[in-house]
Amino acid sequence: MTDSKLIIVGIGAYALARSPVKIKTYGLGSCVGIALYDRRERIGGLVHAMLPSISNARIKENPLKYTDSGIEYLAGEIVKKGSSRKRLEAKLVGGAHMFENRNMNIGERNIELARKTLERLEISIVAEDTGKNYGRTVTLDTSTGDLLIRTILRGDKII
Amino acid sequence: MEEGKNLKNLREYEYGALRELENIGIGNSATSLYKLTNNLVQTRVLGAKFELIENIPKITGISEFPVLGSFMHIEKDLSGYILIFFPEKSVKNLSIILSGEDRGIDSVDTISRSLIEEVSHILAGTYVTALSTFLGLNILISTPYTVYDMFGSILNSVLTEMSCKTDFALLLDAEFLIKEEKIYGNVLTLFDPASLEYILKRIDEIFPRKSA
Repeated sequence: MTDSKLIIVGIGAYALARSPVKIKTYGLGSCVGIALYDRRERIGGLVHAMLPSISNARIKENPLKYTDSGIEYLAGEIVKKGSSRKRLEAKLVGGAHMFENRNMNIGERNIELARKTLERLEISIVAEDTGKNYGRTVTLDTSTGDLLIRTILRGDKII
Repeated sequence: MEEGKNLKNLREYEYGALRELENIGIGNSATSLYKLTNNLVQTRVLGAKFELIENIPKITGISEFPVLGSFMHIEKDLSGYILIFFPEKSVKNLSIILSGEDRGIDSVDTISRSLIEEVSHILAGTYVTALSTFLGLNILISTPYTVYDMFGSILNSVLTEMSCKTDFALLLDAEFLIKEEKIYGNVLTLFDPASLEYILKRIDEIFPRKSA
């Protein structure tokens, strides 16, 4: 990990950092961003997953491309860094339906599976900003656990 | 996914041929745009690359910059997507030229959105027709889906849709510019691995190489 204060997470990737580093991912559309945060240790991680389940994958080399395996991977890594699964809180962002007249519902399925996976891992979802039809850029502030969400037409908000 | 793995390392002359193909596509789109706007259109081929779909944003760059983006499916003999992006200012400037009036609206409204969607459809249609003529293939495009949002969100959503069917994609990245009117556009073409194979096969048939 570098000493820069901001880490950018690409699509199908993740980052994990301690306070006061910020983790940002650009342009969540139908993709889902899952932030896991440990308030006591002030350590947090962010995954930018594309597709719902790794069980349907042809190549299974990148667990971070999929919502279910991405969450499991991030939860595993954060625990390795000294957190405990019980202290983790989750926030979900994205899973939008960008093109209104198209019936692909990848976004919706991503969110559904993210909720199920977190429930199975017994990690509670403390906030979410999901669905609708617009893109979001997300920044996780590991000093507070806040997620800053930026949009084009709907302004910014913190969850 | 053996097809993808085999194709991972394209040779330099193959990339050269793909860039030339891209040049043909964007060049013909530019001619259409010239006819629509009566302005000189400059084009630039930014490159061709065969990559894992999740690595494509690393090539195009990813941003939260607001754009009007249209995407269309490429169908029939080849399969993929064509995406055309216009920044907000370009949407406005192009709308003024096409409609002949400045309605004084800065943001992207319904009228300019429909206008640009139509232009994007024409540009993509010309692009694909040029490829189709050159390669001797039957290629069509679907009706466009248009949205005004962050560049990154639009691109990621299309890549996600594409990744339901394939893990790799050929990216052709090109741009055009009407300097006097400050209109800029970016054209991204994505083909699946089977289409890439088909394109290379056709190029080999059209320009047989002496075996080294």
